[in-house]
Amino acid sequence: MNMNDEIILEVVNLKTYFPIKKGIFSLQKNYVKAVDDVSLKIKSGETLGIVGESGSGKSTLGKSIMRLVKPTSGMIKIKGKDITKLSKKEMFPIRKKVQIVFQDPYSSLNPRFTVGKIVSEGMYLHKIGNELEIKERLKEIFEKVGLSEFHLNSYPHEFSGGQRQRIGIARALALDPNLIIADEPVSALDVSVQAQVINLFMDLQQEFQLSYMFIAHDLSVIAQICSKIGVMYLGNIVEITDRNTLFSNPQHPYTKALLSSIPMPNPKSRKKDHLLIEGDIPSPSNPPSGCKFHTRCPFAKKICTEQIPYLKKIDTEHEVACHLV
Amino acid sequence: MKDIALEVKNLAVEFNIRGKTVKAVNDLSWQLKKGHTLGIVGESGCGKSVSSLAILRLIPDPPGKITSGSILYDGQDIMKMSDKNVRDIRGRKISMIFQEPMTSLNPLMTVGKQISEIIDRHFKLSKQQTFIKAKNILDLVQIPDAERWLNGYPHEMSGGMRQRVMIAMALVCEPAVLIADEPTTALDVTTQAQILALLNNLQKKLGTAVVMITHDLGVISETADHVIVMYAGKKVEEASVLDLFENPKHPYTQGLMKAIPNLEEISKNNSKPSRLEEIKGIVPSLHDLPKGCPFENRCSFAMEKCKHKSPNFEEKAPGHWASCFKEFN
Repeated sequence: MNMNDEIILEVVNLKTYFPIKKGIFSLQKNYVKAVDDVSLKIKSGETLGIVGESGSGKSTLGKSIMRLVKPTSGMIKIKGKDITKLSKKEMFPIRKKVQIVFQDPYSSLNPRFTVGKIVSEGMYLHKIGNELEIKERLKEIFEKVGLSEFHLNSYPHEFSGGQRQRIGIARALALDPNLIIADEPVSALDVSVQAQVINLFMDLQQEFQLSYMFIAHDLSVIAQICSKIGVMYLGNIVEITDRNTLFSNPQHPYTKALLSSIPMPNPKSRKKDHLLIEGDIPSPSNPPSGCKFHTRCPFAKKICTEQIPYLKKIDTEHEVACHLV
Repeated sequence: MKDIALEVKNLAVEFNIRGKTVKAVNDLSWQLKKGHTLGIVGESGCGKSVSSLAILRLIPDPPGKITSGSILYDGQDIMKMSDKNVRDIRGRKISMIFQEPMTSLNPLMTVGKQISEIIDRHFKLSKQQTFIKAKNILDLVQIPDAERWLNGYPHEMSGGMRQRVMIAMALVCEPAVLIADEPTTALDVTTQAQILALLNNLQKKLGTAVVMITHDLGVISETADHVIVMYAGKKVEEASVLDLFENPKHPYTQGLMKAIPNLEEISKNNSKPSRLEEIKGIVPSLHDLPKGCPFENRCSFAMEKCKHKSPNFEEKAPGHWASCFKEFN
């Protein structure tokens, strides 16, 4: 893979807040800070993984980048172009460049459309060619994702979960995007099928020079496919680095806990000393002060409850947000 | 035979769906030793959940039907018991935890009421004693502020806490056998680690035998003593957890292990993102199983005879069984 250094996606200080109304006449306004000051970059041909537990804001981050939810503040740049404030109409040509694959292959495909129509709809909307050209491209894409031409007129219910996810990938691929955001694309699939879909993602990346943002709760899946990984907790990225460093030298206590929580498929290394973190992720509408992780952190000190730690560089490609590092 | 907590013999379950017969479980047998954990692993549709429901006769009939087999608990066959006797066993001697803590609790009942329902069914205790028992079990599953939560409703709790309540309900009568059907699948990894640690502690404390049903080989390796691998309704491999992971003897088990990302490999320096070894194709449809080995169409070692004949389930090494014609060393 030849990686040039073109930056496909740049996110600067992105915040996405959802208002919740409280009190009589909704006078008091409170916010769920789903994404709270996130910055990241994805280079051409690179795969960035975003990992976090439910409620960490990872999906909202993906949707904000797609402009499927409106970001509160910050900037999103696609190939150097700021898209944060674009109108729906101005956004339209950009949508070709960034596509999304959803988690649930059951509910993200219209049951009343044939899969041929599902995959080609975008091509017609964006008028990427005449009828014949689109039909040709459709066949080509189906072949690429491992489906056959004869599936074109079938409906989604006729397919298995893995095949449906292939259809979702085909739909994303149809417009020849630069970046695909994949939101938990394999978590609804069985292990053996999961491997097939992960491999498909990797093959397509090779062939089309795609950049991916891979969102998942499962670190092992992320690790298989991503060159760079960001760990999210309550709307913030708490650690971001390349995959080798994250696994061999994790710095943030939350990353360490996540790594230690993964059950290893090796009974010999059955861990006796899991670094267990207690409790659950706090509500993002009322996050703890200071470092948001301090309520569950086994190493929390006084400073952690008072000051917010910001991401700091501890190595060329390694940033951590923790006072104790 | 004294140390066997539960034994399943030649169990077969069929579903009749729109005139088609689906063999969900086919000739399944296993033994669970007292205080041990038996892991059952397989992908969706392999019959692992159906077989566990069959143990407590929870298969809806119709469309389901237990066509043969016996479930031996304490010298008695659950299949031959009267409905009333089975109800005496459910929750008291053998209890179950389900995957979805959101849907398996009653949203209209307080947590305390749901726990005391089980106590009332099996013991004759005063209101006060029931309350204390319910509170103690919540303490045992480490729910903070148990007394307050007895009056709380499930929707006020997080997923992890709900699963703790499920475990509390399952263990409140101190059953001999606990069947845990994907108990951590719906939970986050950190919560999963907490719940698995809790189950492990409780098992040690109460001496319960556990059947751990999961699709996750990681969970199996962390919890089980003995493992069964199921594929298309059948047992394809059985061994102690160490033997199974060290030296899997069925191509399906081998494939499963290669199909999951190997974190030990990944954490090595300069490893690059790489393809996984996949198992090609999909599970055959259960109402149209092939005549030969059900794994034949996906197996990389398939031979001509695999198409026509189903291999016997035989002992390949001491304490290690598999159903495959090929011998793996």
